[in-house]
Amino acid sequence: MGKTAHPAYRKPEPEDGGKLLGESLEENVVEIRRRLGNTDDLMIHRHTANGVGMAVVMFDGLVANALVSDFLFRPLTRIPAGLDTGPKIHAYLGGGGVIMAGEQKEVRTFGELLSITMSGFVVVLVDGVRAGIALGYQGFKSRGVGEPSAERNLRGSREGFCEVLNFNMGMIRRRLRTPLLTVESVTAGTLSNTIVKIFYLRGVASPKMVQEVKRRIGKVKISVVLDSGYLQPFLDGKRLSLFSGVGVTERPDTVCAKLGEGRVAVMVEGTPFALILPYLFVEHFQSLDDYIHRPYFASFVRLLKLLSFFVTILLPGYYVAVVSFHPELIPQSLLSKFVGSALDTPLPVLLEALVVFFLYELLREAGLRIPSPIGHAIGIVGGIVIGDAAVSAGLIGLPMVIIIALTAVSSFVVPSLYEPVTMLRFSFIVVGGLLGLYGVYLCFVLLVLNLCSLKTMGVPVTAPISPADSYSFRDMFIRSSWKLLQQEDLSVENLPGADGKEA
Amino acid sequence: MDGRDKISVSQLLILLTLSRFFSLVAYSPQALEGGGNITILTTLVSGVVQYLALMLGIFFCRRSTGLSPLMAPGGAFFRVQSGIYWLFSMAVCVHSATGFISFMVTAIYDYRYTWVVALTFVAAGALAVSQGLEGLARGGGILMVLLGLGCGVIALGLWRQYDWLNFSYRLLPAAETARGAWQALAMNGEMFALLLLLCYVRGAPRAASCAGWVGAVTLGSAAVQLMTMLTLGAYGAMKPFPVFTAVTSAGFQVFQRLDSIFLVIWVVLGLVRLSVFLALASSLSAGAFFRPWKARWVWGNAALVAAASLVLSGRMEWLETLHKALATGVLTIGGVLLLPALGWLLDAGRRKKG
Repeated sequence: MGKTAHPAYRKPEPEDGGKLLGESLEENVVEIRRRLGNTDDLMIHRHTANGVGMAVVMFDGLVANALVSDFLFRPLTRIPAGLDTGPKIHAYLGGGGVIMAGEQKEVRTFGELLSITMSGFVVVLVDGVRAGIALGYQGFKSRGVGEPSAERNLRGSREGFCEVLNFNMGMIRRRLRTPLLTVESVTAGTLSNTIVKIFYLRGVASPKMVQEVKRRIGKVKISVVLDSGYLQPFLDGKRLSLFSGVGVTERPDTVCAKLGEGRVAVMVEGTPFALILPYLFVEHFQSLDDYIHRPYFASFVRLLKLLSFFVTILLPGYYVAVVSFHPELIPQSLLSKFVGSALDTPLPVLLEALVVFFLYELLREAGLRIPSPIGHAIGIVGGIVIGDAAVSAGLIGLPMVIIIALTAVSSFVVPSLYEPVTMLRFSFIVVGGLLGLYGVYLCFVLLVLNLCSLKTMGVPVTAPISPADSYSFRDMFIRSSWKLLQQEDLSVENLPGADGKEA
Repeated sequence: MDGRDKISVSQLLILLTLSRFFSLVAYSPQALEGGGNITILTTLVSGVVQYLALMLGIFFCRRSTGLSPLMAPGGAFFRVQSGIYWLFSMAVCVHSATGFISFMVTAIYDYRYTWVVALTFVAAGALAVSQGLEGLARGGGILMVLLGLGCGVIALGLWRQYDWLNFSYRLLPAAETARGAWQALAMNGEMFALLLLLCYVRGAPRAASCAGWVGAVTLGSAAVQLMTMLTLGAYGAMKPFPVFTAVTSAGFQVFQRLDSIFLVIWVVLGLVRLSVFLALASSLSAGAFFRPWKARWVWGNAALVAAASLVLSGRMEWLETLHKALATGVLTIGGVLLLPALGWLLDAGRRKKG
């Protein structure tokens, strides 16, 4: 907490989680209730066997009641008569074969107890014992494994990550059946104690990189971490940029492919999006389908995506610059249409472009957040009513509508770059309208230099384009055949320009 | 630009090739390379002289502390060296910025835009330097590819304009040829930049890579001259920016004008040249005051360059004076041979004593 922090923004101090459980069951139960503020969803079932008190601690809604009843409560009522002390009963219950549970652990502190019960475990406390038995009876409802909505493909797996981390872990393990696959758990969020899993292949990923990822996650001091996006800025490089060196995916097959290249994946409980790092710029133009299609078609699609990227950021700015400053560059056959349209509309081309793109973003955002049936209505209102009426009324020129349509379609070809592309498009329109083509080109060069200066985990984001690696060209914008690709696998650690590697 | 930046020899040479190509596209047979007679022959002869001077310069840069024309930081001579090199770098920055602005306000916009172009161009240069030498060097690779594509399109667009009747092979007297070769050598500020950037490079440049760099720049220069000559003939000598005049006549069926491609080339090359020398100037100024490199050195130097280029854009006689001063060869003699040789002698003396 900063010294000058506003009182309204004080960070609540979490309770000391390291305090050990006591011997007295009563005191433990009181402490648990006190720590949880006697919350309504806390369930503590009391039992007595041979005169020894027991408490079963769990949260309503997180456990499967039927499992608890069948596999826990039944054995608790059948404890042999000879077991008349707490330690004996604890040893009997924890010894195995008595209680059936998917997972079983021992907890010794209040912090562990609360954290594990909040993950859907049931903890059995026995009077006179300074430990509890945690049993995995998770039974919360979750969205099942479904098709990834933002990364659909034509062929290949239709499985996407879901919100339950254990399911996601299983999806990765099922695809990478190698003992090298290692999963490490850390927590993030001083209050939420969100479970974060770090995935990597031992011996393939650089140990330095894995260590760095853990160090950076450890430095996160956010109170409540709800999504992987909260951690992304901490894992990214230091330089200010619109682009990120951390990739996001909801496909387990993509994560597996990247792990095989020596990368590290980070998943956060409660979100279906995995972070991949380092993530190269060129990978925004690649998808799993590329490796399933024939090489010539995959290469064509990649080049199409690259072209779309340039069209969507440069075309509106270029159009505004040419019409405003350099009409002599317009081919004669189009000159009268472009310049005539600019003259017939009341707004200058720069303002016209800004207004139209602002409207487009407005409609897109509105369509995104509302239920899909109303979303169609928004589309109709935006496309037909506003678009057509504005052109008919002479408020917007027809060439501008064509430019918007082309740009809008192009921007969705590479969805992972939508955020920077939108900002860049606006920037290029503004500099194009104020400085002409000189401004557009100046900004473009600065954009290239900024992109080239980015590094994530010591790997340049623009590798292997620059620093160039001729060997990597076989799977960059042109995808070679599997016969060639199988000869050697990419290792991000060994890319030119990666720390310590010759560029 | 701090000591952590390490780039490869090829990245450095690409960066300096781009920087040098700015002078090529601003080429004028009469004016821009020093007022003498620059012909294809003098350009080729100059290439050989440049290579020899560069190799000599690199030889003199061998120090006990590494490869650099500067002495180890600490002494008074280091300050003097840094100060002189800073002056050279600033002179190249101002000269390049003024040349850039002058083209923009004569050929593309009008004089009302002088201050807008000056401020935005120098600010962009400072921003580029703030991205670090590594970013600049990596960006150089991509910009080189764009440059190649742009030049290819222009060369194709000009194909129908080439007239071999315009080709004239002027064989100047020996003294004139030598003078022309000297002028091309004198204006090559990239040679001392190369020596100053050696300490940021992984490994040392080999003789072959230096020969490749000088050869590429020389051949590029000859190709630009040939293209201009074939397109414009004697008319080109009368134009302030003959390459641009030649490009304005290029075109295809649909794309009737290729000026915008020339503009992108001009902006790329101008910005790279300014960034390279601004990076050097800011690093040298920080070094001269024994202060750690910070972004404020870049912006401070950029402010000086912007102010100087604005003044020079309004006073053409002052620009001519600067141009003549650079054409004397002070950059090459002083920066590539004299200062490194002096440093080499002092370093050798210290080693003997030590």
